[in-house]
Amino acid sequence: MPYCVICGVELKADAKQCPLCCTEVALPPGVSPQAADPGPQRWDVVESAFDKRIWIQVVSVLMAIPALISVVFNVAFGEGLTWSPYVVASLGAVWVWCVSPFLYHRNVVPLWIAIDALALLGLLYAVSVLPPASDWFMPLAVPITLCLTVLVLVIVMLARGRVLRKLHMMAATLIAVSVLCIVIEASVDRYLAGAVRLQWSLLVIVTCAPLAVVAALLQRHRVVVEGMKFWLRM
Amino acid sequence: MDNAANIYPAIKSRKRPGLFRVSATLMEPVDSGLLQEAANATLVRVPSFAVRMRSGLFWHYFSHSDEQIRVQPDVINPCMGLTPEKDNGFQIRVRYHDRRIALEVFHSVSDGSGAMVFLKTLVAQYLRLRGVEVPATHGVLDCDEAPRPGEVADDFVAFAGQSPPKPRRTSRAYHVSGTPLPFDDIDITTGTLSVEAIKAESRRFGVSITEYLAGTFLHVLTEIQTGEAPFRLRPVRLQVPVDLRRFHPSETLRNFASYVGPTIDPSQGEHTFEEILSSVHHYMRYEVTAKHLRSRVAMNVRTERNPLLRALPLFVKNRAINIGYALSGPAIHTSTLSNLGMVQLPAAMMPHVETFDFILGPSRVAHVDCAVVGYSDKLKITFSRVIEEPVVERAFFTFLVRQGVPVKVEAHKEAGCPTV
Repeated sequence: MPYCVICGVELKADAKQCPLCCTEVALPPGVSPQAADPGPQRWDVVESAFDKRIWIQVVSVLMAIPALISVVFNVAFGEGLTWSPYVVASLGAVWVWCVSPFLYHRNVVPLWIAIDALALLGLLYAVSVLPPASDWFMPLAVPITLCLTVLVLVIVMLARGRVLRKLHMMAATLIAVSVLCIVIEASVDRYLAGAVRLQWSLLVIVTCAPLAVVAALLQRHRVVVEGMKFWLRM
Repeated sequence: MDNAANIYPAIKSRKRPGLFRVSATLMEPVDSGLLQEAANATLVRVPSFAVRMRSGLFWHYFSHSDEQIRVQPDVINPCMGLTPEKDNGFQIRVRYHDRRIALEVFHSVSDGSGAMVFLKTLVAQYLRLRGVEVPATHGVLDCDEAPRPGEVADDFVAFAGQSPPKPRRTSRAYHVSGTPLPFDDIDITTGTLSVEAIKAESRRFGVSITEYLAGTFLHVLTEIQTGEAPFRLRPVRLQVPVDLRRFHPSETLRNFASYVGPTIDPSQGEHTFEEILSSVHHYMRYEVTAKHLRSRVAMNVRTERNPLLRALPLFVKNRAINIGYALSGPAIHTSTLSNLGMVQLPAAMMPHVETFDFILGPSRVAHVDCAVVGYSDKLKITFSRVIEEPVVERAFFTFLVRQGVPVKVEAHKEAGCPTV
């Protein structure tokens, strides 16, 4: 019978790894694990109380009706497609944001965030190229949106993976806000003045950094308290 | 419905289906045709399990079902919600896989002891159909007999004392945290130990097996919480069901259990394992007495008989029960430890039955629950978990190993581990 070398528990004859610590079972050379019944493989499919298909259909209809009405009104009473493309692009982005969490049976969060970011970029691109067209998409919208997406992805993955504890998460969020502010100000400076001169984002850093440090220390408050006791005794 | 049964229809949801499971593993593969025949006969003998649930104006109620139950192949995610289409309106399921016969029961129908009587009768009937002579003893019912009125009685009313205990404010308990599994998934880890070994270990500390396991569970939960270094240490409180049949002559197969809640408050300071065991032992000896349990049951019966509550329409009552449950149910308990005790079988059945298992259904607040059942010389401790990380099981079983109790661990699927 195999045993887990870490946990010390006996394992099933056909076990490939310990179910408690995932340590691989190491068998002597020439010994292969015994074949055993793998157990039932059928899933009991639990019907979701929330019908994703109906939700997608309802959202689609709710977005399509105002889009269609705005196009018809714009063409009928305006001078061609002037303002309605803004409405259509905005409703398209809202449709993607509403539908993207329900595209897969299991919620693949990174994919969901990436799709939402693409929708945001698409909306911003549409706004930038629609008349009156301007050139702010590449220097402003792209870096800020990409930075926001990466930061949200990192924070969400850290939270889901429970890599950081609660106050450490708060500290990480404050740092992320600081980074985002730097990127926003740098992008705006480069676009407007052609050079980066950080001002207000430094104020954000000055505010967020001490809070992040305090939050990180408070998560380890026992160590802090013990340290303070030690210094008081000195 | 009996007093305890009323709560489950009100609180059941997709994430909280309110089912538990008992199963028996035989020595030979199960014949599904014979099992179907055995299930039909057993349901005639135990009519309190042959019911469908209906909603009235004021209460949910059971009505007898003349439909035939459909035995189903087993699944990888047991104890998920019952559906009228798949389960033919029944509030139980009978499943089979290889050598295993499993019974999943909605808690309104019965408690663990009642379900075990049904399972033993089902297995006995199945063996009879295979030509084994099985006497109707040791909790096995004779399917040729008519059901006895006592088997469908609501014994809570007869057991309830006159004065309920004074209500005490109970603070929110610590809950194990982790990465949640999808709502239709559950991880099951079973540890098998020798009854003699655990009995000897319990005897060493002068406590019963349930007290020893509860103490161990509290100890590891306390250590896990301390390791998380939270801002505020919360009490670690277990919900331990107590079979009232031990205190009242009853042959009911419906719910007849109450609960006690051994607690350790880590904010009082560090507790050694011996201190925890001593605390659990004295708490259980004080609380698990007929008088205290009668008093607890009296409180529930009085609530059920409250004229104001009775007059409320069902949809309002459901909301009220939900709020009450949210305040006094899993929120104030860290986990559940349910010990069914040793399963006794007639001698003729024993060579045909290898083992019994007991699984509690998913709990989305506690995240991890523990069920215990013994048979022959083996004790099976099964953790059902709805988070990815097996922290509690690992701490529990490795603690037992360190105490000198050998444990064999198996999971029902390779969960949470990278593929080898």
